[in-house]
Amino acid sequence: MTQIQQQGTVLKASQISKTYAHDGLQQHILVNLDLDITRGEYVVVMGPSGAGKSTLMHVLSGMDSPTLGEIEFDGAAIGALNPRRLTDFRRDHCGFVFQQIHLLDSLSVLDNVLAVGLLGRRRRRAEVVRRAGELLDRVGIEEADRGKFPAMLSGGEAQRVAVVRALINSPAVVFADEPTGQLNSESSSAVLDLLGEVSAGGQTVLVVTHDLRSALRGDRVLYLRDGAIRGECVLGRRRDAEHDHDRLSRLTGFLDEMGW
Amino acid sequence: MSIRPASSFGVLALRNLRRARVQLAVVALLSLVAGALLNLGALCGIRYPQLIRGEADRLDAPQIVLLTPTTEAARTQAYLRSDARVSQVDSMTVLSERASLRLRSGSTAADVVYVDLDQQPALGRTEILERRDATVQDPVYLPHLFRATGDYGIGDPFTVTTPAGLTRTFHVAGFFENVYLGFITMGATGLGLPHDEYVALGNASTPPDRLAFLRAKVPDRKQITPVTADLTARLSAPSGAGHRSWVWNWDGIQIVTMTGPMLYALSLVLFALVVTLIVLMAIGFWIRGAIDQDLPAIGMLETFGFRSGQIVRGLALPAALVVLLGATVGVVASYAAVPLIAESLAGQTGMPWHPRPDVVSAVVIVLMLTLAALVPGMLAARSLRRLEPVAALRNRIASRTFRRNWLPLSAARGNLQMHLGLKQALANRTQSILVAVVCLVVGLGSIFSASLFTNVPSNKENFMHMLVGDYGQVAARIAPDADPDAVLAEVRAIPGVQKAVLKDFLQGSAANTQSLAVVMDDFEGQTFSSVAEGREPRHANEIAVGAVLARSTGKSVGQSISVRVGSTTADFLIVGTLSTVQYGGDRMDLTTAGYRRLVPNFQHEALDIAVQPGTSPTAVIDAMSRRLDGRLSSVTNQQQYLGCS
Repeated sequence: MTQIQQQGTVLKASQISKTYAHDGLQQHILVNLDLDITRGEYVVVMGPSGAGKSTLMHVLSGMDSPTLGEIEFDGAAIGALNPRRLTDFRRDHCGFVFQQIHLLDSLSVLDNVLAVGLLGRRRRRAEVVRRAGELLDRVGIEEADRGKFPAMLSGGEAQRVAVVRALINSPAVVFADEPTGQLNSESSSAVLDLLGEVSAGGQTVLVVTHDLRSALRGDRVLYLRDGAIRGECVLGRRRDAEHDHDRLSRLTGFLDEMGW
Repeated sequence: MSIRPASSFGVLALRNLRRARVQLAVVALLSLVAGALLNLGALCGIRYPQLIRGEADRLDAPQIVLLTPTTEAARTQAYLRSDARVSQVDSMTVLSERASLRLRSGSTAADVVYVDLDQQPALGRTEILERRDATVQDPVYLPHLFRATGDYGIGDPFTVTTPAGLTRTFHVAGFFENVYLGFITMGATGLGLPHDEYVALGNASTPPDRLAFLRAKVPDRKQITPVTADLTARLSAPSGAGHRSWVWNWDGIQIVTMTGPMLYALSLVLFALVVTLIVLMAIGFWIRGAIDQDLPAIGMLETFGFRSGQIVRGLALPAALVVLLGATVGVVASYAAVPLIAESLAGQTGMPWHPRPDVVSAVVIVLMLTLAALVPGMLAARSLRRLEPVAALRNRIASRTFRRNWLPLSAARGNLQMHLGLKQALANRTQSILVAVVCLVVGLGSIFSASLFTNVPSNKENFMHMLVGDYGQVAARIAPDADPDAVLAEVRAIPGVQKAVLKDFLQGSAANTQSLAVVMDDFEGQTFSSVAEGREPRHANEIAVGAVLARSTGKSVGQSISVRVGSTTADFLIVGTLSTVQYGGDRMDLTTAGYRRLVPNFQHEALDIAVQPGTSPTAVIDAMSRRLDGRLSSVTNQQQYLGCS
């Protein structure tokens, strides 16, 4: 933990609340939540359904704005950004992996990656295509499969393409919402390995999950309930699968403590 | 090989093009139709009037023409020369007679003017458009109109039959173009003869009347109407030239020649607008449908940093591109239909037309349609801008909703399916409203098209009523020395006559606007009423005016309007407005007593006769000829003349 903190805070949430209100009725989703995430950290957020996990991810990534409180990215408040600048912030600094994958069905594998890679910053097309090729190589998507359309891919292949899409712009933070929720165990492992590599490479990863195996990959596991962080379990950097048993014991103990 | 666009926008646009091939093909087809109709409308509404003006300039057409007895020529010519508004006066002698001409659809009555083609006047040349190389016996050159309508070809025999039964037979040697003498059913119909034939006709045992054909140039076009009005008044005065004088001017020519093209242009543009509206709605539906169907993908794109504008541009620009292509093809393809329209217009105006492609209007039309196609995208962008990526990712299903539950099934009574349908409609109110609007537009468009078709192309009689108002099947001119009331009484007594009225079409100026004056009594006895508001005049101080005239002069029912004929002016109370395009809408209805306030010695010269159902107009005409021989100068089968069966 100490070692990670030394690398500096990349995301900081201060006293954030998210409330929906209509006709005098209010729903409090996040309540006075504080959180620091350091650069290169692999953070997992767990908690029961309706705890506010996804909302927390949305607020931290600028997809949604908090009702109260402040979010800082690299020391700069993103709450002050207008919608256009907020969109640019997501484009330039964030990568996203969704449970539903959300590949564009009428674009090929490569075009799905390029659609995001060619966006915004003036990057040479050849450079983007080369990087897309490298990342697809890294996740095991063969050259021959890159012209395929998403419907022709397995769930695991599609989610790996989605991870490549999230990484194409080399974001500072990768947000993943239940990235293995629709995958079998083999595909899940491949995607989790990839996220682990991303984190090891110095990019920050924030994963929202219900899945114990996914949570085991994190450096730190936060437990959210009723819109507030009720506890955290620092597992430290995962080295290899041999030490997972020890990590699992600590994590299950923590989750039992949290009433999961 | 797949296409690799160089930007994310290109990738998205290509994706949307691939996804909506059928919808975009429909949009392309409709854009093609809209582009074609608009281009044809623009050609008829802009280029054709330019052609008329250009031809008038090229042939050095005068602004006023006058046919008058040769005895009056010198005096009238001197009068015109003394008018400072007239810059040039020219006169030539022509031969003229009232005659019946045979057309493909039957015979028609016309004031025929024989001109010597070898004597070109200083003003208003006659240009030969087509001639036979070999000489023909008894050659005659006809206005191009006869060629355009398909009535005559070169070498065909052509007969002119006078009311007295004298038949002159010619053979068509060619066709000519002349601004004033090129019509069959309006004004005078020119027949061109080579010099020798012209002289021979003048020396025939029963020659046509010898008249002076005067032409005047009025440089200031605003003065054409006042000069004509003054000239008409002078001719109408007791000391004037009398009944045989005939005046026509450039304003009249414009009305006659522009009415057809303008109706064409209006119809084409209206249809094009309806089609364009459908195109825009189709694009709007497609974009909204694509947004609704694609919300999670849109949410993903917004999450990754696509702006709502970029996303909608990815949808709207392919549609605009398709419209651009469709409209361009439509505009180009429309030139295939131009010869048909040109031929049809030449059949109305006698002016041959060979329009060249108009690049400027084509570009403007294509750009207008393309820009219009971007509007639904811009509207969709507005709605998308309000949508947060999170809501889009969840398919607009908010994780927290306070939405009202319309028609709760626990309380709603009645048919379950109906309730489910209503709930669905209420949940998608925008789409429901759009469907209702489309139904409304399509419904109104259908009614418009159906009524236009029912009233115009399929019912020529209704169309003619719109153009010329109420008319009977038979028209007659009363001889100058006959008593109109006595003639009227005799006509009414002829078996088969249902109704006969004295009805003259004259000229005058209402609030300084040259107008057609319809003078008769018993307006309210007309079968076809043109009254839009109020009523027709009953008394000498009352007037009804065309809606166009009312609008241009700023007058309405209850106000007075100043009417001038010659130097006499009188005020009339407007008691009604008329829905008519006759004389371009510049028409005024006056009672006989009312017109006599302007021309005290006015006598009716024209009779309008309706025959009883089942009675042939020909039988009535025969009876009239027998009983009123000498007291009528001409009798016309109006039904045949106007081409209505």
